[in-house]
Amino acid sequence: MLAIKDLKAGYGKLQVLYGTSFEVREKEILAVVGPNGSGKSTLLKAIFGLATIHGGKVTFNGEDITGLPPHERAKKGLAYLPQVGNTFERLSVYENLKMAGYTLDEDELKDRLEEVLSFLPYIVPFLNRKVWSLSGGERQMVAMAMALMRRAQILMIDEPTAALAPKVVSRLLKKITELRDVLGKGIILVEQNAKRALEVSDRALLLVAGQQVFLGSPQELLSDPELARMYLGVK
Amino acid sequence: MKTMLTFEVFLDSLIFSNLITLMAIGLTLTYLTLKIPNFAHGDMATVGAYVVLTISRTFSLNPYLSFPLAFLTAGALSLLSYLLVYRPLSRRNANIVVLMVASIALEIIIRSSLHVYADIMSSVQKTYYRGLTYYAIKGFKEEPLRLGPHKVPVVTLTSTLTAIGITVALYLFLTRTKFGIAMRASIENPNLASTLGINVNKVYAASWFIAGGLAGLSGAFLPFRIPTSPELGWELLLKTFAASTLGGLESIFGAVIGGYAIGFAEIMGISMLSSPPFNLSTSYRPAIPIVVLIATLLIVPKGLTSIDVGKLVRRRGKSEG
Amino acid sequence: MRVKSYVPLLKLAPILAWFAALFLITKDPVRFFIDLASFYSFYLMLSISLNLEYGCTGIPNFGKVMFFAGGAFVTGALTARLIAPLAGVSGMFLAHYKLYNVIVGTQVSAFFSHRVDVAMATFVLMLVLAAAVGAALGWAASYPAIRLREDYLAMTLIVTGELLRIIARNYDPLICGTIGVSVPDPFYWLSGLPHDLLRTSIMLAIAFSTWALVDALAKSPFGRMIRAIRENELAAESFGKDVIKVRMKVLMVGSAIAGVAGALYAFYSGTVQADDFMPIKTFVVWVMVILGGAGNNKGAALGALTYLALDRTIVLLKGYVSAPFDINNLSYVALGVALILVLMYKPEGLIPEKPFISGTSRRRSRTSDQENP
Repeated sequence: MLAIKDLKAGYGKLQVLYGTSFEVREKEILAVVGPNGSGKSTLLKAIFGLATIHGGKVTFNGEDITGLPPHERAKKGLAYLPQVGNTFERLSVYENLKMAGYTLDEDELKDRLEEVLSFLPYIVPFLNRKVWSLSGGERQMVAMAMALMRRAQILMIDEPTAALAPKVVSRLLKKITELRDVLGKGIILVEQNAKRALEVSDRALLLVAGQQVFLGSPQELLSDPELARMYLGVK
Repeated sequence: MKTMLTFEVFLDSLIFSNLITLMAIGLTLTYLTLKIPNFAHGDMATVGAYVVLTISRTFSLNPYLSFPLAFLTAGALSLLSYLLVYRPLSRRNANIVVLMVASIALEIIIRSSLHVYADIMSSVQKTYYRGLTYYAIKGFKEEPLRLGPHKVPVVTLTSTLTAIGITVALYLFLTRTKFGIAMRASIENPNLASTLGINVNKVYAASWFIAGGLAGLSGAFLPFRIPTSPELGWELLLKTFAASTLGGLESIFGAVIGGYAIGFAEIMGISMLSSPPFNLSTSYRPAIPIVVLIATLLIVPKGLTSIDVGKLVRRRGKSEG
Repeated sequence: MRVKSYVPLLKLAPILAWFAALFLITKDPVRFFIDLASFYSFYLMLSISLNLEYGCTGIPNFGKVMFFAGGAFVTGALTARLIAPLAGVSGMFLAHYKLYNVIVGTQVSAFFSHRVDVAMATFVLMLVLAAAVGAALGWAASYPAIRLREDYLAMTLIVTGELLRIIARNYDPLICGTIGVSVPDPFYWLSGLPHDLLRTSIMLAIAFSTWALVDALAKSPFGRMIRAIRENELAAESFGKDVIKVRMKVLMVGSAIAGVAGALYAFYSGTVQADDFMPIKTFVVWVMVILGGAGNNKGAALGALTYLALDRTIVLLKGYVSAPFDINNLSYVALGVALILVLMYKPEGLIPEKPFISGTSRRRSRTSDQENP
């Protein structure tokens, strides 16, 4: 369970987030939506330890992780899938997964690999192909697989459907819901494509210019005409 | 007579190319981790040469016996330069130019130290320490092998086997071992790698050690063919740059291609150019890799391995440059 | 504000004290001073030109010695041969120039001794030619790589320099190959102390004028533009400035200056040899600029002075200390170590660059530079 309390963050002296608070549990998807530049990506980075914290607390399973470096947070079960740079493009899919399981021993690695591949059978035919030769959607699946190799409990995914074709978007979002339903993961899903994200999520967080404007059920957000129109471009 | 000349030139080219390739692999390795050309790389070869020369001269041993030590010494020196100079500087966010200046400073330090070393050893052992080859050492003789009417120096065989062996070993290391794959991963995306728990510092340090060791090994072969002196490293460096750049600084495979291309271009090139109808003086030999380098930068700056043959074929005309 | 302008002078004091000590030790103070001043004139010019290229514009000119060589080669190649017909030198000597170049040189010098007008005209002509050749080399050497990243540019510059040296060594018609060529003395119409004083004064005058010129350039709109490019290339480009053209222009100016320095060097030493222009000379100029403080001419001047002090100390020491090895190499090791230490612990050098933009606007431009989310 991930708890964010009054988080203020940014880059160096520049502040981008002005105090957000929410919780994410296992088996749920929290969609983070809002206009461009509102701090959605910064939020994920701050939670993972890649941005400057100006104030507030990040607690994971009861432990205060606000000061920990990213790879320590990863070890504890928090995964971050950025928009770019989430795979090793010059390595093969198999090699990527092997690297994701770098800290595991031989047997554990084999088991996890089996588990992950059975959840994501799409990538099995690509195991020996270099990631740069894969399409956008396939790459996102590889990134997801890598996060699963590390037995992540909470996955923070940053705009996975950007620049993807609609059919691929559906497939990807379906996989994300399966992460919740089949594997019981907790997910923070940052999305530009607000409507579709809200369709699959359990709760929604609306960020505008670094301020938390709304936290609650996605239906409520969609049905509020002002919020929906102004910030989500939804009629 | 003509065929003998060409065969001998071929052998010469082969030996030379083996050495350049080993050096180019090392140069590319350090470039991949630091994004700057390591100007001190050439001197690592001289260090290797002098290690073997010193031991052979002092203990009258067969040079090949000290080759592992040449690898280790040069590797250690390279590792030290990374730990003491390059890593601290990049931690302080030094830009490319500052790193290059430091690299040149290191080069001067190492080369000048080698000069001092050669001078001291000369006076201590009362013998020459410049312009040496192994054959000048008492008691070292090598019978060339015979291939039909041709004489093949033993070093042709040993250097070729070493070059091939190292290339294969490196390939296996980088694709079949966990640490090797981690090296490729860290070179490509150190942030992601460290998030996954890979100790990127350790990986980089290892790659610097290997790069230096390869240069040292290559240098150890030098005194079989070339009178060795502390200035050799700098001359080798330019050729190595040419080789790595021609092949493509981002690719180890490119280093191999570039190494053999430059090696053959230089020796076969000067052999052709110094005969009629060009009659160019052989002292222009060092100019060949330089010209190739300049041409590479003008035509295909990212090197041969950056050429996407598929794209070229599909889009007849302009190629990505 | 007043106090700040004295700081560079304070930093000058130890160097001056050092020189004073050297004066006391040396056997011939007058000769020592003249030699010092002469060498300072070309080191100053080299240092200022590198500062313009790297300190102000961010160009890693690792081939500085090549442009210096270019000016020297042109002077060596042309001076004697151009004036020889005027001086009535025998055609036979000219036909076998490599063999007889010393004789030709001496004869032309003798000619200069009673034709001051020709001598001075030649001197000026050579300086102009050297500047032109330097600039041309600057254009040619950077052309292949000016569009590429700094590391490729650095490599190209070094490598082209070596190419030039190889050609000079082997192509006899240039500077008589490995023998080197003798350069006539355009000040031969004087002798003894007046000769040395006049020559050295003119060299220093040229060097300091160059300093003034580059200073003016740095304060001009052109100077502001190159600084803007150094700080943020992308932003400058978006304003329509052709970054590549500007870099080339700066490199050509710097190379022209180096060329003139080369001509002065050629005249001063009387001979030009290809192996006098090894890459280590480039390294030495970099030490001067980084030690002194990149980005400002005062720093370059101080750096040149400091290096000169070090160098002359070594030369003096060589007379007093005997070792089984060449002390020069030890001095290079020391220089290398010093350079690395400066880069690590005091990268701004002895005289840090003063910001040209006033306080507030600089601060504003800094925060907007932050990493993009």
